[in-house]
Amino acid sequence: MDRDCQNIRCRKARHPARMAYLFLTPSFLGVTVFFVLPFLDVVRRSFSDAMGRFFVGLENYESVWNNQAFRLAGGNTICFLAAALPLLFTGSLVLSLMVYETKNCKGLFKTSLILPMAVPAAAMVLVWKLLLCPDGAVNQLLMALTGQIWDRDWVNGRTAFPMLVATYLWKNTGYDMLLWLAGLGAIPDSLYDAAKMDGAGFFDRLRYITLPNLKNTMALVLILSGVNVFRVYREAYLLTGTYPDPSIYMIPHLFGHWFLTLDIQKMSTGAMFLVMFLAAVWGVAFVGRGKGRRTE
Amino acid sequence: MNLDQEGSREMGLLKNLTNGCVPDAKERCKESVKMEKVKGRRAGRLAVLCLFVGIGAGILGGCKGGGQREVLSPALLPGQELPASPNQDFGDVPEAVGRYIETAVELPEIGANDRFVSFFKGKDNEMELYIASGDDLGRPAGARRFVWENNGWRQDEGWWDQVKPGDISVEIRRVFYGLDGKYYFSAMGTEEYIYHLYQINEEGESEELLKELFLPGAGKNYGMIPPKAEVSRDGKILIYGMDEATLYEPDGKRLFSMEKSWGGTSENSIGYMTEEEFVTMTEEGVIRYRLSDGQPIQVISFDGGNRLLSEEHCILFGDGDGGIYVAGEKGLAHVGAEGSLWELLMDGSLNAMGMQNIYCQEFLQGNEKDYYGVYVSDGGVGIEMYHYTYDPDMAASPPVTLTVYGLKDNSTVRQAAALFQKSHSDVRVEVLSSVEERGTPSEEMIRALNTELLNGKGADVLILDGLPWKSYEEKGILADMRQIFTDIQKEEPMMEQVVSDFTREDGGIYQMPARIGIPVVIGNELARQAFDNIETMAGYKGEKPLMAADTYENLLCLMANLQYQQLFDSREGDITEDLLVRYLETAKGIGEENGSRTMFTEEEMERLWVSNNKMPYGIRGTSINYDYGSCACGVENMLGLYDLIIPKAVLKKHPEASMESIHRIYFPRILIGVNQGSSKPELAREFVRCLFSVEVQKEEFFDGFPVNLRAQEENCISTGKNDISIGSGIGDYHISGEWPNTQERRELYEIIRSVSVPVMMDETIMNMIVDGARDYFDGKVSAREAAAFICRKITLYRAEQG
Repeated sequence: MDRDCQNIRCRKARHPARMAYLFLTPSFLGVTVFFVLPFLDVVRRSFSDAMGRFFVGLENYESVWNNQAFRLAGGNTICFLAAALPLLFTGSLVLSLMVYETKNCKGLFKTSLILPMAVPAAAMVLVWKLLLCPDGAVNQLLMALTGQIWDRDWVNGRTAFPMLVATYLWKNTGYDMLLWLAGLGAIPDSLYDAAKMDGAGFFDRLRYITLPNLKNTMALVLILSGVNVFRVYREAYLLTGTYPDPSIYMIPHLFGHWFLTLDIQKMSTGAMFLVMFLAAVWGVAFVGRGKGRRTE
Repeated sequence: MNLDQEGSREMGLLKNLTNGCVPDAKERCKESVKMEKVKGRRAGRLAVLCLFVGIGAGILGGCKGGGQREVLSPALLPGQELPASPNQDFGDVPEAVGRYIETAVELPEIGANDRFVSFFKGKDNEMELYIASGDDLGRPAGARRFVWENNGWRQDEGWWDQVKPGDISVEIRRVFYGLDGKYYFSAMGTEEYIYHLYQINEEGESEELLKELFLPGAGKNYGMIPPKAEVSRDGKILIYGMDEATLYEPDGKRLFSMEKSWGGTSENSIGYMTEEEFVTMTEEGVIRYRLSDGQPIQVISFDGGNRLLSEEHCILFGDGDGGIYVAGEKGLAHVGAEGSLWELLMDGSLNAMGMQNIYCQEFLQGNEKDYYGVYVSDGGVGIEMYHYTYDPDMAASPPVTLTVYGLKDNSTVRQAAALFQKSHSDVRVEVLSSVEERGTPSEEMIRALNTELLNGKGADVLILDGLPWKSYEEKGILADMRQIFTDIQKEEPMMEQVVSDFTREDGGIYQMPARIGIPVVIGNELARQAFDNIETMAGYKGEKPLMAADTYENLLCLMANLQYQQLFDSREGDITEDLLVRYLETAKGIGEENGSRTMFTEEEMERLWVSNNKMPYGIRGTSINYDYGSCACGVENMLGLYDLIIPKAVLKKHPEASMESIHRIYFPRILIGVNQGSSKPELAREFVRCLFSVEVQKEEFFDGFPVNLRAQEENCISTGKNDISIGSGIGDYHISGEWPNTQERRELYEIIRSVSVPVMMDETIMNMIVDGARDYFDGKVSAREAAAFICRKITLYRAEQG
């Protein structure tokens, strides 16, 4: 009798899971149709000719790997990730801590920092152009300060890369700050109170309470910021056109041009390289995390 | 017990479920109800799951099988069913039928120098046709009147001799039948260039009207020359101006004016008069004015972006019941007396209305819901008349659609489409383009096309100008057309060198230009020799600058195109840094000498006869600058015989100068290819043949010279446009020229037949050079620095393709 009732409970217990699957079905279908199937097609095309008619083995991989434009774009994208992500990560965290600690005008700071998210890219780029072009405000300001003629084109040449990083930071810092603030808000005040009672200073609280409790938020910020790196192409394109300064020539530039010439096999192979790179990064992070846990 | 029986099945199930644990009757009843609910829920979930699967399958199916191109079809007559899309399968649904069909009307004998005057319904509602006669030298020699009787034209012998004015010699312009039941005609004096309006009285003699109105004003050489006049029932005279129509009393008293759209030509004015209204066109659409006071009654707009008809060559006429017809290139449309929605009765792309070499001159309603249209080519010659009758059994839309796509609209392609449809009544040729002929296509348009091509779809025939045709060829998008051109060369040969230039080493032909442009230089020998290479251009020392001033962008483009062989490796299109430095320095040297700028001010543009516009191939056409004396030679991009008129006039004034090709180069235009994925490859190939046929090639649309040799010969001997003249001038300077004679045309075609170097500059590389050189021309960087910058970008561009 008991075993029978247990069976019934087990089946009932499975019902919520079934319901969950049912609710997930639309999303699953959407992901399948719009992501999984296209991705599988990309995998197929990376081993095919341009029109996907003939199997060509690893020919595309060899061709793309040896392609100088791909190497430049890939290198620039990695450099951009390496330069912009830490800056955005720490900058937004510092700003969020400042806002979190601020007693007055918290809303004003939040709004002003999040405002760049609301500005359309085209309008934003126009402002940047007005600032950075040879006759722009930056050169005018420098001319007024130094008394010398300044006609530097800030988005071409050596300054192009830092300028693109600056636009990326300006655009994304507010958004990341909001994510950090959400994480900070979830840390119980009692922890800080107890730490204060024990005589912990600001940096001790940051090291032993804030940062450990922000681990999950860190992962989220890293992923979203990484994804936004690939979106910086829009600003680069609007600021400098289809062929920008080689230092800010990114993967999306290359993919855009390949699509114009219908080099779909190269695009697919390039995408596969990106997936491999991201998988490698994720693998390293996963292994590192596992080691960290074992050490703990 | 009953309960037990009813619940026996559930009991059995429950027994299995509970492994022999049998509850009492009440419990069993509850369990039974529960089981029903469980089953119901399962069925519901199953249904939801099926629904999602269905949606998913629908999405997938939609992605796979969709993409049917929207096919434009003619509007339907009242009561007519919606036509089925040619590629749609509606099972047993009957195909929509009913369409106007076009048949040619035999015209009276028309001489080479005769031209169309008028076509209307006159007394007793009979159709009348008027043709002006010309003598062998093209001078006016009277007019002939024909009346439609018993399905044929009867000439009214001696009509002109009876009605022509006795006091002066005139050339007839237009005849019309007034609402007052009298005939009128307008004419231009052949000795004094003055307009005359005459009424033909009961005796058949002419009486001049409003004589004073058309005389030149004080201090003026010309008086008013209205394109059209009409007479109301009470004898009031409506005179069409360029942007308004004015009503006069018969005694010449001006009553009021009514605004109308600007008619740029003296031959064409849109509008008609009824007993109570004047109907014409403005920017907003078709407008009705009340004739009693000239006040607007109604404006009927065209339907937004899908503007029905172009204003340039459309005809407005009434249906007799207050409704309005509009006939033009896009077809025949009608709106009822109180209506505001246009109904497209005829699709112009399916008949002569869509032809590019002729335009609709008159269109009128027959007596039995049929229509007549008169078409003429340039100068009023080449008259054609068609009768349109409704065939209730004809498919509403041709069952097969052949799609032709190009980034830019093109008249030659449209002409080929119209002729192709004439010979294939079951085929509709849909010519699609992303921008108009003079528009600028964007990369987004190419991406949209690529998406279609990638799915194995896209247009059947591709016009490859501006598209990445090399890439399409490599990717297998384009079909091999070698058999088509082998046949063409046997039957109607093309320029051998053009065929050869576009034939691959393996014999395959994947694209072919239907037209070519020719750059020529006009000047003395020394100046012409300077175009040998960029060093000779840089080293030219003459009294005047080698070329006329222009923007540096145009100067760079011009040099890149004219010195293409020297600057760019013809296979890869690459340029070395050293060569680029010399190229930039030469451009700057020439520019500094002739006053070129990166951007001109208004004052400079007026003084130097330039603009900041980017010109095709960088060639502005500077033979008049040469004639004016501001440069040592003129460079022209010849795209048709029209382009020869002014250069020939310049050459006549400068016996020391001559005109010659530069490096025997030519610019391929209307590059055509067939989509390998086309579902109608045979039709597509036939269309290509049609495009290269003499009938299409011989027509002049300002988009290049024919490549067909017989079409070239026909252009040499044709006399159709002999009376055309063109004038050009700026400020006090003026020059005019006549249509080139046979000898001059032959000389030009000699040059055309000698060209053998196709130049198709890569626009991306050209833009890189122009952008990269800007700082150099502004003096901010050296030529070497600019060249290094440009080379880096070109290297990157090439690396992408590697």
